[in-house]
Amino acid sequence: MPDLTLVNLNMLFMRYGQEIERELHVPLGCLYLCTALEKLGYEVDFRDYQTVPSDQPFDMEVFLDFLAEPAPVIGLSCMANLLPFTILAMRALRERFPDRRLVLGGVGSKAVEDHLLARFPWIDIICRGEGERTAPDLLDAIKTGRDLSTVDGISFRRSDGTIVHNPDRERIRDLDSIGFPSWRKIDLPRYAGYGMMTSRGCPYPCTFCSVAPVWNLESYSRSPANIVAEMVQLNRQAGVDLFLFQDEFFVSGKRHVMEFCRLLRDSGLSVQWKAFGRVNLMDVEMMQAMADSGCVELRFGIESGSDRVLERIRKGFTAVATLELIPQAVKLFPRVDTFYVWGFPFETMDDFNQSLFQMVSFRMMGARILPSLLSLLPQTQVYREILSEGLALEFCPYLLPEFVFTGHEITRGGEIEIPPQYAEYFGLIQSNPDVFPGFFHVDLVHNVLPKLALLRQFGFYPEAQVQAEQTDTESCGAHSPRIAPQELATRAQ
Amino acid sequence: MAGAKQPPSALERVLYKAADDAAFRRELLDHRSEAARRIAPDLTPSEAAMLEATPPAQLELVIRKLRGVSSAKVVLGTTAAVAAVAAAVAVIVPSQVTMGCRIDRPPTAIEAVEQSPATPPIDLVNQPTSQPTTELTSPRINESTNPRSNE
Repeated sequence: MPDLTLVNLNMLFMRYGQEIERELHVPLGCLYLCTALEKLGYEVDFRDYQTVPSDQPFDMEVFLDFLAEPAPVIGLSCMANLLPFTILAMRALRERFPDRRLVLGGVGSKAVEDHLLARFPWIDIICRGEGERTAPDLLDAIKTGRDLSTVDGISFRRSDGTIVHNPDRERIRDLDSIGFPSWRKIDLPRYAGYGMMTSRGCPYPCTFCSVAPVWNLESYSRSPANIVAEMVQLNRQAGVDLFLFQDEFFVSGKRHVMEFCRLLRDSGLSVQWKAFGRVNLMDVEMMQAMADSGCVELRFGIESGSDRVLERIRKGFTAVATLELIPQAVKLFPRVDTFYVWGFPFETMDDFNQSLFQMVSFRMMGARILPSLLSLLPQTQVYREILSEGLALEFCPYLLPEFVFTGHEITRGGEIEIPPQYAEYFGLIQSNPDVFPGFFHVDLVHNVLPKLALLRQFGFYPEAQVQAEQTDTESCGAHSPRIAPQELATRAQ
Repeated sequence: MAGAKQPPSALERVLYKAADDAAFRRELLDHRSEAARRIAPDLTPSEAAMLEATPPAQLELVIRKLRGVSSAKVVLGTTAAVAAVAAAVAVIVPSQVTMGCRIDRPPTAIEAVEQSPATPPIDLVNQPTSQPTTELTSPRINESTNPRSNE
């Protein structure tokens, strides 16, 4: 009998009208956890819910079938977008398996642990931060009956209902020491490239972003030799030839990146890779080295074309710096992605027009433009500022920030539709705005919708195609009912 | 959709023109939308607003970076040519959108704001309370989910 059934609930699953799009991403966090636990002799029954053989993954019976015969401890990992589903799924697990311990992990619960334990009594334990050291300690405590208050990095509920938040566990500074993810647990060819992490955390305190606060503003990087060693192993043993560096701080320093590129070239591997850059940390020499060693796509978080907004969100560079770098990147890489965040409550129309101008300009130069509506994640400073300023949150039944798309909603062009069978899911969100603020907006009428209209006007968002396939068939047989997928920052390909 | 191939917009034609023509570049930097309209009479108010909002250093830099960028460029210098293209686009675009048929589509988000009836308010009264971990307070929720109620 395994010690732990570990379930990955992070997934990209979209409904466009009647079509479904899924893209399987390597569940890195869970696979790192498997490595750490198995090293210490624990048996892990890992199940990646991305692979569930159903087009109705949010049907609870489908979920429960997938979780048949679980171990005594069930751990579920999710991000903020699937936190509502995870909560409902844990309730279903509690009803089906009342004797199992239910543990929630992943970044989705960060900053809302207290609310979750107070409101959802079927959640037994929440793991905070990195799991490689916390999970073995927790499993040992459960197995031996040790008091859970001795396990750093968890929050839990005592039998009398008291909620306890144990001290944080110290961060893992030497990432080379934790081993490679246990990729043998998954069927690699089914996944979209191979995701890798070269670092954990980000030192830049951008106020809209959850990465830095999730990692407590500490950032640690793997050594270039360790990264290349993993790539060599994956290429030789599993034939992987496309690597997606998913961490936001791949370019932690020029020397580090140049050394990585040199080692990769020296390894003789013929592989391609994609990574995130950062405007203020890159120059042509570094980008040339990256391109020469197989980097085919560079992604930049630009966020805004307005210096006023960039300063307000503490991005750490200016619009002019962006305008200097991106055209150079476009010349060096087959694809350059530029991510923008729009809908900041303090973003005036002048600010937004500056962003829009930059988007139009970069599109003319050949960059791909990926705007995302601000998602007010509970870990972020922007959200805390909104709370302190007393600004109201608004839920919009036809518009969600892209980050919280999950496939419960049906996407029709640039708008969404909530199917009746997921009324409870969206009801949970609407009745717990302080747990799920990422699904809400600030000032739809004056802040969000006018900007959306402009993004549509310039082709950066699709026009709404609400139920077009139902309305057009009689009037026009030639019209295609297919709804084009929206460009998503979360897509790997 | 981002990156979709479309005919160059008036703003794009203006920028290409400024990249190729030093005299027009100076005029554009000094007079923005007024200068732009001389090259592209179909410049929309939204495009004019973008031109007016962009700081001079950024506009100048964009124009400089666009020099030599291949445009499949419909770089049009004359009003007549622009008008001809604009007329062609006006004819072609609707037929592409509808494939020759008119679709009675439901309202867009903006239209829905204007049209939708009031929806029930979120009930915050019965929510369980607990101390936040990091938040300063609980968020305020608008009484109605209907954006129109804010107007």
